[in-house]
Amino acid sequence: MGGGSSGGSSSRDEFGRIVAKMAVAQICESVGFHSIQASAMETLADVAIRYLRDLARAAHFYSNLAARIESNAFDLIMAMEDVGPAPPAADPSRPIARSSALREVMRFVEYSEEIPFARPLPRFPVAKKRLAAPSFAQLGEAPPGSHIPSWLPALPDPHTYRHTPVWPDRKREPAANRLEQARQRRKAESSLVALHSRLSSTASMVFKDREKENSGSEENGSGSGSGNAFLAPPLAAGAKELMVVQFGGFKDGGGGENAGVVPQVPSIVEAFASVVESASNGNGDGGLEIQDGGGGNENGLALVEQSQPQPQPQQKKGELLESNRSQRVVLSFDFGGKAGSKGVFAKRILAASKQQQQQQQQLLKRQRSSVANAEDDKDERKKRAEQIITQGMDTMAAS
Amino acid sequence: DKLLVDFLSFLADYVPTFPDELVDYYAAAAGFQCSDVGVKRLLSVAAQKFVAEIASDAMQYCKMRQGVGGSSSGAKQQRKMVLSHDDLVSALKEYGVEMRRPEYFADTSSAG
Repeated sequence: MGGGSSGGSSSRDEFGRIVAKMAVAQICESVGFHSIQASAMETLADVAIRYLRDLARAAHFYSNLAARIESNAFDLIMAMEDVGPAPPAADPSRPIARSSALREVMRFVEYSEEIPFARPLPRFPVAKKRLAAPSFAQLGEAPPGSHIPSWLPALPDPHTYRHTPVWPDRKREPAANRLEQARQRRKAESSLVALHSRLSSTASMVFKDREKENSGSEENGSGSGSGNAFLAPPLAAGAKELMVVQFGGFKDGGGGENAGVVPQVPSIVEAFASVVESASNGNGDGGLEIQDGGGGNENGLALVEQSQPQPQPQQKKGELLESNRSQRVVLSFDFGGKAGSKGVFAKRILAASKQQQQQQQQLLKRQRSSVANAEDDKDERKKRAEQIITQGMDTMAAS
Repeated sequence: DKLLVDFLSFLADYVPTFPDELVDYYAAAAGFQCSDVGVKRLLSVAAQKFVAEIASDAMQYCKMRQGVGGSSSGAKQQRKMVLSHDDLVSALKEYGVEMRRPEYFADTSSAG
């Protein structure tokens, strides 16, 4: 017995428990106590609740025994006799109205003062009134299917169970759309102009180097080295792979401007194409192509600056475009330098000491030329960028 | 019988300490169904009597513990009558309700 005596849901019982505590405290006060310990109060309240419940339960049992559902006073009196102390002489013939328990209670009521409860109480537990779902007839709907009577609650609306996609509600007027488009166009144009100015500035720088390269490449085509030691004949295939590594370094230096425009693909393809070129053994075609490429490059650059495509230069530009796409011009153009640097790295790794020294010397020279190579790489990328720019400008002009 | 009827009608005017709503709640929990207010009041009064008896017994115990003595203890009695748990346990024992309370609870680091 004690705190856990009230079984079932103690959370629902809380209110009743508190009220019982208040009543018990009032009774104690009437008896003469000034105060009461908290635990004692809880205990006494529990006892009182338990007593109340037991009495009611017993009365209910008695009424059930008499085949009734509603209890009456006799049931309760008999229950009181059961719960209370045993009467001195339990005589079944004695009328119930004279039971000792009842008499005691009556005596108690007579002599004790009336102690009304301190606070007014609402009727509890309060049952929440749930809104019943409207029926078919109330809604005026026809139930789907003849087997469903109309007085049944209506079926839920389809939007409650059907999942439909939600479109973002963008209420934009066409004018705002146009403004937005114009703004974006202006942004793109300004960025293109900036890029273009940068390209044109560097293009002028590269011109001189290019001419050097052209002369060097021609010599390469002819097969004689005129002091550009880096224009050495092609080397074994094993060296090609190393080329990629070094080329990566150049690319970073040279492709900084156009890194955003040109992806890394050219380097890989360039490497492969250089393999192809070396396989074809750097014949005069490469030189010719170089020349053409060189000429086309110049023309191409000029073309881009003017943005006036003429038929012949356009052809060359077309060649340039195609060659750029096929990567042939790019690769053949850089062929000499690449080959030289490839050779350097290959021989380094193959660990021929004398050759290493020579190669190191060559490497130094090639490094000097690699700057030009880098700028050549820059050129290639600039060409690509310019292609993209022109394409973009065309589309801009068209829209 | 007449006595009973009179008593029940008397109870209809009487206001017991246990409020009617409380009694209704617990009676419903037990399955007790009655349309007569008097019967419910009778139930409430019975419970009130029960509690009052226990309280008075506890009061006796309390007085016994405090002891009947000189003026100081008498003053103490009048000043402070606290229903302690021990007194209640002793009183309940007579009614067949046995309770044992632990001396202290050591469930938290602050207690015990």
